[in-house]
Formats: sequence, C-alpha cells, structure tokens
Amino acid sequence: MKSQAIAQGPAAHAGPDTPRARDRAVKSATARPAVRRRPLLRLQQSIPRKVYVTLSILGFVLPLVAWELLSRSGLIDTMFLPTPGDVIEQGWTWAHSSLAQDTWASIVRVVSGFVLAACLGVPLGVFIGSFKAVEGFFQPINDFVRYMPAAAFIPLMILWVGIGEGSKIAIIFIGVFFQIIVMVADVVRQVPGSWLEASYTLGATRGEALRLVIWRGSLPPLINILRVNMGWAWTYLVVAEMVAANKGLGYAILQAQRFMNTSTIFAGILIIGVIGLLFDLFFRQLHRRLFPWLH
Amino acid sequence: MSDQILHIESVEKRYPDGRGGQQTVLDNVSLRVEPGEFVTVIGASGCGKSTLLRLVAGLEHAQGGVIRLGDRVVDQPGADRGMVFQHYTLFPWLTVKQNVMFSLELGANMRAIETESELSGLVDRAYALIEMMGLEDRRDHYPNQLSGGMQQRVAIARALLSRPRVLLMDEPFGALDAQTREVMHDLILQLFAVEPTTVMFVTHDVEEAAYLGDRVVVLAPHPGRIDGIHHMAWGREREPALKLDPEFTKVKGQLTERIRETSGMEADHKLIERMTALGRRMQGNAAR
Ligand SMILES: Nc1ncnc2c1ncn2[C@@H]1O[C@H](COP(=O)(O)OP(=O)(O)OP(=O)(O)O)[C@@H](O)[C@H]1O
Ligand SMILES: [Mg+2]
Repeated sequence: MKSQAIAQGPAAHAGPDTPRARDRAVKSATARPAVRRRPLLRLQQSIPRKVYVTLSILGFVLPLVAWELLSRSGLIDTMFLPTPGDVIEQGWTWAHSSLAQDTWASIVRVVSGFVLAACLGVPLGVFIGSFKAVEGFFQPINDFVRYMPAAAFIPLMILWVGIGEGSKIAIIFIGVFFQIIVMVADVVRQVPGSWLEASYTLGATRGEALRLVIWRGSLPPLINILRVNMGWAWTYLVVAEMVAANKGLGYAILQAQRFMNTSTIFAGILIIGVIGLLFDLFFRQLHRRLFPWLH
Repeated sequence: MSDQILHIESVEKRYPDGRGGQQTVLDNVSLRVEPGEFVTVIGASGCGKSTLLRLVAGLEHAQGGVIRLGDRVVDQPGADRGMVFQHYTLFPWLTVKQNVMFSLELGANMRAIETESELSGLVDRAYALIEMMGLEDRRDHYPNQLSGGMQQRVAIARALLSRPRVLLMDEPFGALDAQTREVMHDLILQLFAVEPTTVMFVTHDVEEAAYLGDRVVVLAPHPGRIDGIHHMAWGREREPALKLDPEFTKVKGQLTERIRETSGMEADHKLIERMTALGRRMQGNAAR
C-alpha cells in the first residue's frame, strides 16, 4: 500500500497515511484524477467530518465577510447597513446595560408559550393520530385555525388577557400550538400498523399499545417536531413583544427601529439567532441521548 | 389436553373487492389442530394463507363460521396465540433483551403471575430463549444492528416467552436467503423438540412445509379453500439429509403438483415456455 502511494508520486504529497491519501492512491490507480472531487457530492452519502465542519464554518464566515465588504464599500449608507464592528460595539454597550434582563425576559416568554403549547398540543396530536373519531372532531377545525395569522390575534389577546405577560405568552402559544398538533398527528399516523398488531398478539390492550408502541414509536420524530417549533416560537417573539412590553429582545429591536439604531437591530437579531442555535443544539443532543439506536 | 384443540369451523371471509362488490377470500375452511401439532399451510400467492392465520390470531373477523381455541371463541388478539410475521416487527427502540421481555410489560401477562419466583422464572426463560436462538452475545443490541435472520429469531423468542397455546407463523423465513433458512429449519425443529408447542406455519416453500410439518394443508385459491391435508410419514426427528430422501422428494413433487393444479398455474408455465422460445429467437438474431 505504502510503496504504491509513493510510486504514484503526486498522491504522496498529502502524507501517505491519511485516509484521503490512501483513497487517492487507490483512485488514481483506477480512475482519472477528475473523479476525485465527486465523493463529496454523492447522494445522501456521508462525507469526512473535517470537511463537514469546515463547510459549516465557511457557511458562517462567508456571509460575514460579504457583509463587512458591502458595508465598507460605501454602496449602502451605514445608517441602513452598519459594519460588523459597529454591531459588536453596540452589542457590547447593550451587554453593559439591559441585555441580560432583555434576554431573560424573552427566554421566559418563549419557553412558557412553547412549553404550554407542547404540553397541550402533543397529547392532542397523539390522540388525533391514534383515533379516527378524535381526528374527525379536531382536525378540520384545527386546519382552519392553523391558517389564521398569530399576529392578528394581538388585539383580541389584549382585550382578553390584558397587556401583561399573559398576552405575550399567548401569542407565542398560538403561533406554535396548532402546528405542533398537525405535525404530531402526522408522525403518530406513520407508526406501522404491524408494530401494533405484534403488540396485540403479545397480549397488549389498547391502552398499552398506545403507551408502549404508538407513544414510544413516535417519540424520536416528536422531539424533532419540538425542535422545529422551538425555532418558530422565537420568530413569534418580536410579534409578541409588540404588545406593550418594556423589556425583551424583540422589544429592544422595535425600540431601536424607532431611533434608527440599526446596529442594535442587527445585534438583537443576531442574539436571537445565537440563542435559537443553542436551543437547537440542546434538542439535537437530547435526541442523541434518548435514541441511541438512531445514531 | 382437549381444552387446547384449535378448531377452525366453516370459516368464511370476504373482503370488499374495490368495485363495490365482495370478494370471497376464504370459503368454508375447516381445520382441527391437535395440541403440540405442527401444521404447515401452503398454497399459491393470494389464496388466503395470511388471512387464515390472521383470523386465528384475532386480527381479522370472519363473516361466517367460528374459530375456537379450547372452549373459548376467538374474537380478538390475545397472548394465548403468539404470532411471528413475515416482515420484521421488532420494536426498534428496544434491545434484543427488551424486545423478548416485552410481554412482561403487559398487564394481561403480569396478572397471571402470582409470585416473585414466577416472575424471575420468566426472566430466566427470556435469557434461555435468547441463548437457544444463539443471540446471547447480541442481548443488548438494537434490531437495526441485526441481520434479518437474527431479527426473526428474536421475534420467535418474543412470541414464545409467555408460552402461547398456539404459535402462528406467517412466512417467517420468507425474506431470508436459502442458507439461513435451512439453518432456521433445524433450529425450529430443535426448539419445538425441547418445548412442544402447537404451531400453524404458513409458507409458499413446499420443501419447508414438508420438512417442518406433521401435516401439510394445501389451500386452493379463488376462493381460498382446503384442497387437501397431507400427513408427513417421517417422525419428528428430522435432519437435513431428509431433504434428499427419495420419499421426501416424491411427496414434495406431489405437493407441488397439487398447488400447480389448484392454482391454474399451467397457464403460467405455458407463458414461460413461450418466453423462453422468444428469448432463444432473440439470441439467435443477436448472433447473426
Ligand atoms: N385488507 C384487505 N382488503 C381487501 N382485500 C384483501 C385484504 N387482505 C387481503 N385481501 C385479499 O385477500 C386475498 C388473500 O390474501 P392473503 O394475504 O391472505 O394471501 P396469501 O395467501 O397470504 O398470499 P401471499 O402468499 O402472497 O402472502 C388476496 O386476493 C388479497 O387481495
Ligand atoms: Mg401472505
């Protein structure tokens, strides 16, 4: 193997013992060099971890560089497009005043609305997906309500629950609750009937089949549904904080708009993005922990 | 013992044919399976073998006739009739051990257990079954880490754990390659020698049916009905050499003949002959 790699000349440059070099050594013996790139673009095939991570970092860095260049080029007034440096500076000032408070207020709202929606939406979705009678009753009305824009409920929420925390949580709740129901019902319906039949022939009652087969079987996709909906909950935050808030990230963004403080708008959006990413990582990690057979 | 006889009496099963009418899938099927007997069911594809088994399992309801296990009428699935399906039905989120012990999580089985030692007896039994299936070093693996043959062995162990009175097997080895299947045959024979169980075993493999069964039931299609029941003359102790025995080969031929005749496969054979002739002509053309 080694002597072959050396004999191949150019292939030895990458060091004869890295997998890539070995790969190349074998490849160049059988195929033309042009084929080398193709392994990265094979349908649904995994690629080396190093390449993956590099691409992920590039995905962040390239837009950042583009932003930096664009804001410095003078093509766009910095009033509308601040430089990354401005945004960091503004973020720093914010960090020394009310950032912690704003962040905490927003997290509490998003998590409250989301948890409430999940606690009610998941069981309802499970029942809709399991029983045709429940589906018949809830699904059409749910599909109807689901298309109503959450923002349009703001005036109603103010009338009903006032301008306190309740209405803000309610907006986030409305934003994700109906989606969770549909998505959960869908994955529950996809639990193979043969699993259910197998459990029945082992002596399972309907309740046991629901608990031990349908619930357990749809748990992995269910965690993914929660992950996606947590993202959506954050997108409803700004809408929710349009309602008479005096702190919160969404509130700060709206406030900054009033004073043409684009740096703060950028900083706020980026911070929400980072927090969202952290929640996403949490759910991914949870998935890994809970469902080892899928990883 | 007589309270364990499986009686299938004049069962009739119809399905909607998709054009507003009804299609009779099983017509007046009667069969009596003695305790400890191994009955295999063969027949052409679509003749209603799975339907018959699913009726006994209680997963389907018949329009006519009655199925009785002992003195109880079968009207729903239950732990007294275990089933092994053709496709893999292990729960992917449970390990081999947990899959085999699944029935210990079910009230129906646990209510029957009165003492602590009975429970630990069942746990021991689970380990013993896993070992008998040659899976002791895979106990903590998940199903997606197992080959198809291993998965079916786990499914068999799972179905046997709570000692069902009847074990129903629907082409359990249908998806396995020929060699694995041969191994499974001898494993099954060994298993039931150690632990006599009433078995109804559906297959479309004539050799499998004759090698495993005490009796072989031939189902005829359109509508599904019993064409004949054949006693296998060889005793329970069977080994691979039997498959080469002239007597065995003869019976195999007879069974195949019955299936062919009842299913009107003559037409298929004519078609195959025509296609071979056609193929030869095309080869001739290509050579020229
Ligand atoms: N749920 C159903 N609805 C309508 N028709 C059905 C249904 N299940 C089975 N059938 C029909 O009943 C007939 C018998 O089906 P069954 O699955 O019992 O055959 P089989 O002998 O097991 O065939 P195979 O060897 O291919 O498994 C077929 O014609 C099939 O189309
Ligand atoms: Mg079948």
